[in-house]
Amino acid sequence: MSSHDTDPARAQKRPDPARAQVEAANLETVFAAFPDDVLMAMEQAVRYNKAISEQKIPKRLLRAIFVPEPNP
Amino acid sequence: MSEIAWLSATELASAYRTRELSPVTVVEHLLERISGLDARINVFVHLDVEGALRQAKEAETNILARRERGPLHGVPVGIKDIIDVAGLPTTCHSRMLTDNISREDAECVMRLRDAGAIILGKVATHEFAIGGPSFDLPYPPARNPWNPDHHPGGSSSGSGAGLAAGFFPLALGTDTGGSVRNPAGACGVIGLKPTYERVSRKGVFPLSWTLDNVGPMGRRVEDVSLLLDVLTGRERSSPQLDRDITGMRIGFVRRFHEQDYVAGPDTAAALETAASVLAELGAIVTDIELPPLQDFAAVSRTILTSEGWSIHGEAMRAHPQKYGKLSRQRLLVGAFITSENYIRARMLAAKLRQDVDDAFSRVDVLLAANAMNPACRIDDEKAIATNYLQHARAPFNVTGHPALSMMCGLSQQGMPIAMQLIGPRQREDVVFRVAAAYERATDWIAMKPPAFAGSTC
Repeated sequence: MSSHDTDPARAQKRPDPARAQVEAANLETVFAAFPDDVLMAMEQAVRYNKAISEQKIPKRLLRAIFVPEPNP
Repeated sequence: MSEIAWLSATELASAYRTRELSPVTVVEHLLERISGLDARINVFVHLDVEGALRQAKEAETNILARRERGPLHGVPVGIKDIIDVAGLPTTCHSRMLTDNISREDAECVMRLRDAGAIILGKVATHEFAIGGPSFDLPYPPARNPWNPDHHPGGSSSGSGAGLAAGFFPLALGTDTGGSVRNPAGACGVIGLKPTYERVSRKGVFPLSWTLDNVGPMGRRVEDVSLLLDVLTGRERSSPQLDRDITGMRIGFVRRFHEQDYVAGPDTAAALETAASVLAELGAIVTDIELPPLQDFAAVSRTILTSEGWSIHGEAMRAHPQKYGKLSRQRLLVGAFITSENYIRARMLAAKLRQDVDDAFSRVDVLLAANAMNPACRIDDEKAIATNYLQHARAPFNVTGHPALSMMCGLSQQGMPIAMQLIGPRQREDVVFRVAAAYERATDWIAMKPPAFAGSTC
C-alpha cells in the first residue's frame, strides 16, 4: 500500500466512482438527461466485464498475434 | 388463384412461366392485402406502392418479351429498414434517421434486382437492430400475426411478421445476435444466418462488424436456399434439397435447453419430437456437447456492445433524446466495457469457434433450440426481457457457422416453436438438406396464422 492510499486529504478528494466512470466515458450530458439509463448500462457492463475476465483464454491464443479472419 | 398471398417464390416463378399469373396481378393483390391487414401488425415502415407497381409492370413486359432477368423475376420481397434501397428511406426505425433517403442500393438489394425481384418496401426493425420492441419510436413495433398481442421477435421483426402474414414470399433480415432467427422462429417461418461474410453487408447499417450478417428469410426451405444463391451469386443448391438424409449424423445440443437456459415444456417437447422425426427419416441423431450458452453469451454481448457503442457513441452523446429508451440502455453498455475485455472476447470467440469446428468432425449438422419459450406479450417488458435473453442463437454469430431456424411445433397458446439446424462453415447446403427433409415430413411449415389465413384481401 502506498503512502498516498492512506492520505486523508487525498481520500477526501476521491471522486464518486460512478461519476468518475461517467466522466471517463464523456457521458456527463447523457447522464444529466437519462441518469437511470446510464446507471443501468454501467451495472450491465460490470456483469459483462466480469464474465469475460473470469473466462480462461487458452495459452495458444495469448501467444498468437490475433488477426481477424480475412474475407472468404 | 385465390391463394396468391401464400404462394412461394418458386411457385410464383413457375406461374409466371406458364402465364397463369402475372407480376402485376400478384403485386396488386399483395398491395391490397397489405392495405387491408397491415394496421393490425405494423409490418411496413415504408410501402412503396408506386415503385412496386412500376417494377411489376416492367417485369410483366419483360416476361412477355421473354427477357426474364433471373430466378426471382417478378417475385416481391420485403427489405428490413436498415438495408439501403435507392430512393427509399432507411430510417433504422429511429428518430435519428427519419429523413435519411438512400442514394444507392445495398449490394444485397442490387443482387435481388439483378435476379428480377420486386422491392415492395421497407419493413419494421428494432431501432438500429437493437432497441425493441419499443413504443417510443417514430413508428409502431411490428406485431406477431399468430397473435398481435405478442411480439414477432426481432430485430428483423417486420420481415418475419410480413412473411407469416402473407405479405411477401421472401424477405431480407439481418442477424447480429439472432435477429433473423428470432423473428423466423416467433412467426413460424424460415430464416438463415449464413456463414459469416458469405453475404455482402455493403449498404447495411452496422451494429457489430464482427457479428453482423445479412440473412435470407422465407416460408419454404427451397425459397430460402434460392434467395441465398441469389445473394451470394453461387450456383443453385436446390438439387441438394431432394436428397434424403439417411445416414447423416445429427448432433443434438441438449445442454443449451436442458441445462443452460431451461426450456418451457412445450419447447422441450417439440425439440424431442423434431429429433425423433429426423431419426425416423434415417439420420443418426446423437447427443453432443458444446460449451455452455453463458460462455457464448458473454462473448457475444461484450463484442456487440463495444462495437455498437463505437458506432453510436458520438451521436448518442449529441442527441441522447433521439434514441428510444431500449436502444439507449443497450448501447450505453458498450461505453463501459474495457478494451482488455473486448480483446479477450475476440480471443475467446476464436476458441469457441474451434470448439464448434471440432464438433463437426463428429457430426454433419447440429440440432439445437432456437428460443427457450414462444413469443410472449409485446406489452410485458419483464417477460420480453426474459424471452429475449433465453435463446441459443448467439453462439453461431460468435463462431460464424450457418444456422437456420424453422418451425417445429405450436405451443398450447397457439404460438410457433422453432428449432435451429447448424452446419459447418460454408456448408449451408447440408443445413438446407436436413431442413428440406424435415419440411417434407411434417406439416408445420404449411401452417398459417389463423387470423390471416382466412383473409383473402
